[in-house]
Amino acid sequence: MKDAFGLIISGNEEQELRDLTMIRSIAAVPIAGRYRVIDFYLSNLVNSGVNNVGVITYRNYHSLMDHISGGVEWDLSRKRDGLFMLPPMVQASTNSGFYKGTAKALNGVRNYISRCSQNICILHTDCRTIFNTTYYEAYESHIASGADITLMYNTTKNTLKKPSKSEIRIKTDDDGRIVDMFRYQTYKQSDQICMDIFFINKSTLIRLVDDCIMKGGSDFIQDILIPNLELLDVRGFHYAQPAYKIDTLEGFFQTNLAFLDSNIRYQLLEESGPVYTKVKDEVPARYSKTSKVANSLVTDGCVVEGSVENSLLFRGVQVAKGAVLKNCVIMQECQIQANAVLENVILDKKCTILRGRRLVGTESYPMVVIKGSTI
Amino acid sequence: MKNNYEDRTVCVYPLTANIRKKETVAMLLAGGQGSRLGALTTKMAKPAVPFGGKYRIIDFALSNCTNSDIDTLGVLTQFQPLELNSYIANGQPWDLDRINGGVYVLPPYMSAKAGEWYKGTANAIYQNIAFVEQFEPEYVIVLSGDHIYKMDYSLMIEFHKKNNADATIAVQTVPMEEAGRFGLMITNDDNEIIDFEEKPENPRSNNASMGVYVFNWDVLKQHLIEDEANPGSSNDFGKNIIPAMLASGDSMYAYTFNGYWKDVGTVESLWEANMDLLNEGSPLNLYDSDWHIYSRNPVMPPHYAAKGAEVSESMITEGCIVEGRVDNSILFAGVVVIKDAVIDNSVIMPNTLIGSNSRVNYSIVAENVIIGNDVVFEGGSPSNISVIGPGAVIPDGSVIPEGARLSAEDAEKL
Repeated sequence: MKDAFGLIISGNEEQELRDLTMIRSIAAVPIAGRYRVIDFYLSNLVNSGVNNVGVITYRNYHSLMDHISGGVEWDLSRKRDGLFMLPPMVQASTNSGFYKGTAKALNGVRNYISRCSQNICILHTDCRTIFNTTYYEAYESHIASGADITLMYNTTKNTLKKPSKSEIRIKTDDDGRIVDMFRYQTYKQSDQICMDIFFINKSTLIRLVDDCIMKGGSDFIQDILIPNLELLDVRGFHYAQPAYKIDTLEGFFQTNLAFLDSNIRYQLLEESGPVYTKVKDEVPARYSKTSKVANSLVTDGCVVEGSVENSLLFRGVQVAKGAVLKNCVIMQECQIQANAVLENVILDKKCTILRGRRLVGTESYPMVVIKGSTI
Repeated sequence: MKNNYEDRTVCVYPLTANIRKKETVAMLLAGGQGSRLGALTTKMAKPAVPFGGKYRIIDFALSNCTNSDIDTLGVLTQFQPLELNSYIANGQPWDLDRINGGVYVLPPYMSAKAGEWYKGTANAIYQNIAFVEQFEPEYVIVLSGDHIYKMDYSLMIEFHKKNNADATIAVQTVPMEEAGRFGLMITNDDNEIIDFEEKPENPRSNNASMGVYVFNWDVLKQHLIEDEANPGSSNDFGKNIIPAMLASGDSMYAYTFNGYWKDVGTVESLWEANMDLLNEGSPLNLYDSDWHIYSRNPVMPPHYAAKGAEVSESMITEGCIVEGRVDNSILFAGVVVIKDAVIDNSVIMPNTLIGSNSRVNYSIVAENVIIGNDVVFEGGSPSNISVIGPGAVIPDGSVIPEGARLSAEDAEKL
């Protein structure tokens, strides 16, 4: 896909992952043992042969910058093109250090967009879907149909959870043209979910953004796409593989646990190409005489002495003797001390659970422990 | 370089302008076949052999260099270099992709006058004098790529400088009864080397040479040139260079290093060094965040332990799938242990599959092996380890005798 470049908006204001997104953008949220959400987006682009990727950051982008750095791990550290981190520019007249809306963000990186030597923009207006794909087919369909904008959607068949309020559904006519878009709350009939991924010609994009900003708009979907559905030829591309939304905590929790299924793991981590991530040079995971493990994913650097069931242990987690974990998502460098019991719990990074403590959440409302807490 | 040209000062950059002077250059000897490792090294040099779940033997020497702030090194390859070349590549995993310096793989080459293989360890450095000279170093540290150890070379170089030595040799104190297997340094009270013995019958010392040398480059270069001119020499550091330096009265010191150090020259010692990692409080601490051992990472998901899996006292790496039982073993990346298979006291290298109901015991199974269903490894003990060579396919129901050494070709006849 020589003529395409990728643009990723790494999360916006509407974040519903509670404490997990307080300190970081959704793109930087750890997931599936050793990845961050943005790894899926970057890997999909790289595996599609896209070598020019811009990442637009909102506020709280330290964590994301730290993770992506120069882009070496995704093979995006290049002389020709490569990775471009696009943090908000502080300009007295136009913005105050962060973007209020995706259209404003696009306006903020107008120079980057117009400088790209490729003509088709693969625009990701959010980072809240976990999927593994290459874009060849969608790209071909965009070119062949001659549409102004091609929108990727999936259907409720390939989802895990109850829809969230902010989820956007689409309505297509018989020719595959998109005639309307709604929030799920207001229009429950459609089973077609917008994946926040758009193929759009560079010059069209710049024209639409300019027009939108002039009229005081701020959001790509609300203020650019929806008002122009009649004027523009906007078409859908049906993505039929699993694509799991993590826009609610329940969705995030269930998506993590879904990786325990070997078919889903294969579809999300291997089928269309590997998912690249930052290398940490951890030691292989280590088990002792007392360890018990069943139906779990365990990452390098872990030391397991207790019992772990239906859970994901991220890098460098320590589970002491007698501790019992069930249905848990335990992020990097957490320490679970002896005889602690955890069920339906998400621990953010670097938490310590002291001896004998008992934390229990429920499947639909897991308990979340904020980064660095000691309980 | 500054020149005066018609009253102006102009800078004339040499062609090699991007090469800057370095105080120390490391030369890593990685050409050995390691023939005692049998089937494990028929297709790769010993330093490329997988070790400890996610490493290769050479990662230890490379990581030691990085952690000791040595950023310029030549890796001398000769035997089956393909695996090693592609593994090291640009040196990025070890932070050795540098603008000034970095890692260079140096195979033997042809020149206008002649071309030849590396005849010995000293000859390998001799043939690369021009490589070292580019960096105009004060010191050269010569390392061996087939030892497992964590060592801060910068402390040894400090010691070398403090003594104003011409050469410093790292030694390890070994039990007197084993001393006869090593090259031994006889020292005075100031650690000055007064004599040297290569594998003597009646050892006079238990300071065994580790094959880690620091030299003043000028002195070493002189000796390398003289050694090359001597047709009777076997061009070896231990046999020729060190005795010659002693004879010519150079100032030589022994630097004692008593941390974990293992030469994994045999199948049994390779197995043992792997098993050392499983000991709690292992003398080789890999969890030291100030002394990471770096390696080239395969891109694989976390490992999956299925319902019914039993894992105890083992190390398991990313990409593995465990459905059976694993005890006191090390699984490398991408190993699959099917339901009801049992692995005890074994080292299973990358991307190997162990079929259902098979029992693997006291073995090293190399990479890309397929062990069928119901295969039984008989007996075995720490002094009698079975080896299955890379790419072997073991048919269902085979019985592997104790201490077997099977290459892929041998396995076809099963």
